Amino acid sequence: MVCFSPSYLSYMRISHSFFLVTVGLASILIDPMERTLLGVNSQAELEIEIDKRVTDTILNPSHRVHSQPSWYKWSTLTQEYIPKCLIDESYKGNEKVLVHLSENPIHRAGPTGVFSINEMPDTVIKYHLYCKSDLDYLDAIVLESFFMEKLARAGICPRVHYYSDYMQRIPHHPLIPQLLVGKVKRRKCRRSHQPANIRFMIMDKVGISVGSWARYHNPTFINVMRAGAQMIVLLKKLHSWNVLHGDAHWGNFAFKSGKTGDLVLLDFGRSRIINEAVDYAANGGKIQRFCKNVDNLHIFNSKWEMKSCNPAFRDDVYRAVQIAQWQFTALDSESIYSQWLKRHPHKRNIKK
Amino acid sequence: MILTEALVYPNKGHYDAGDVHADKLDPVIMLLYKISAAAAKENSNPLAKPEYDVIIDAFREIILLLDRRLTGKSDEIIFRIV
Repeated sequence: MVCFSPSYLSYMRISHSFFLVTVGLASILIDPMERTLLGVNSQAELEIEIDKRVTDTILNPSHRVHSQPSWYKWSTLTQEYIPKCLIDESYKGNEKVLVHLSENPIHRAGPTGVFSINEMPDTVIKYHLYCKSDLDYLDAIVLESFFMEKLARAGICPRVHYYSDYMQRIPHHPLIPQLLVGKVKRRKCRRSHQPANIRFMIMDKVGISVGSWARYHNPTFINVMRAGAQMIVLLKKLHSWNVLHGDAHWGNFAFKSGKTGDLVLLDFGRSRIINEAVDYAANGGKIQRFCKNVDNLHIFNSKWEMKSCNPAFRDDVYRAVQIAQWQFTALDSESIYSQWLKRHPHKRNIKK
Repeated sequence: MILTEALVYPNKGHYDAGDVHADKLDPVIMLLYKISAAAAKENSNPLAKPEYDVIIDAFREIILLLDRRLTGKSDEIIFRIV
């Protein structure tokens, strides 16, 4: 398969639209260069071919392993063609998922919103309303419910990770899923039911989270240990870039696909670049605030966690290592159930 | 401690924490303690990086140990693994 560079694709897009706008006889006249390169005879074929190539470029992960373009290049590249790649049942086997976001984001102050669909642990949408600096031009991300249903029906884990400014600064690594956010500006088409401006987000499709896997899929102890080792390797890589994840619990590690294979790190909503020049110790070591640990089954609790005073990189590792503790302590299904019941937002007060 | 003891000796029931000595513990349990201790190690500098290699090596040792036990290449007592 021919691999197109982003610059060439953008050139194709510009030249193509130029033809459509300026020349009324677009169906007859085709840019000879494009025709030669793509090996097509008619305008319709050309359009189909361009769509195919662009879709391939976006959806095929092998194209982006060697040369990962920057966020904005991707955004520019996909502006024109993304609306055609609506999420559908036919995209079931692809590596990427396209999700449409609502046109008018909600402007509201308040805590992090969590919506659950079907009460499944992995079908949770989060959006951070007061995190304005992170959500640069997308003030808030609200996912349309019918797309969530489609995702769930397609068997895709619809865990949504909102765009974080820091994601741009993280170098590309095959173990960190890519998240692309953009805004499509185009004229409203009479025949189309789509709105004029479409907010979209492309995510890597990942498998189930390690937390769900360990709780509900009854893994062997040795496999849990393997996952734990991979989690630390991943965090080591991330920390070498001076990026603090900030929320590295085992629910935020997921399998790249299905229930086996490499792990990926998700949810960079609390991530930040740690500047070594800043004296964090002057503020009592508090870089950000975490919720207090209320898990009674933990057998190792250090002082700083009880005080909700987290040192930076240690906290990531400590939370990731808790996978071993879970396997260590919660051995029977009843305690797992009671643990789940305790944490459930609506059912935790129900007495047995 | 009681929980770890129950994991090592699943048929013996409840133990007092004082009955457990480090030398009686299974090496896997000791390695798990090692991992947790390395992860929770206090440091006055909040930017100090944890000992990743110690933790990864401990995980690797556990995997090798369990692998040897499960494949029958070890003389150690095989305990029930969840």
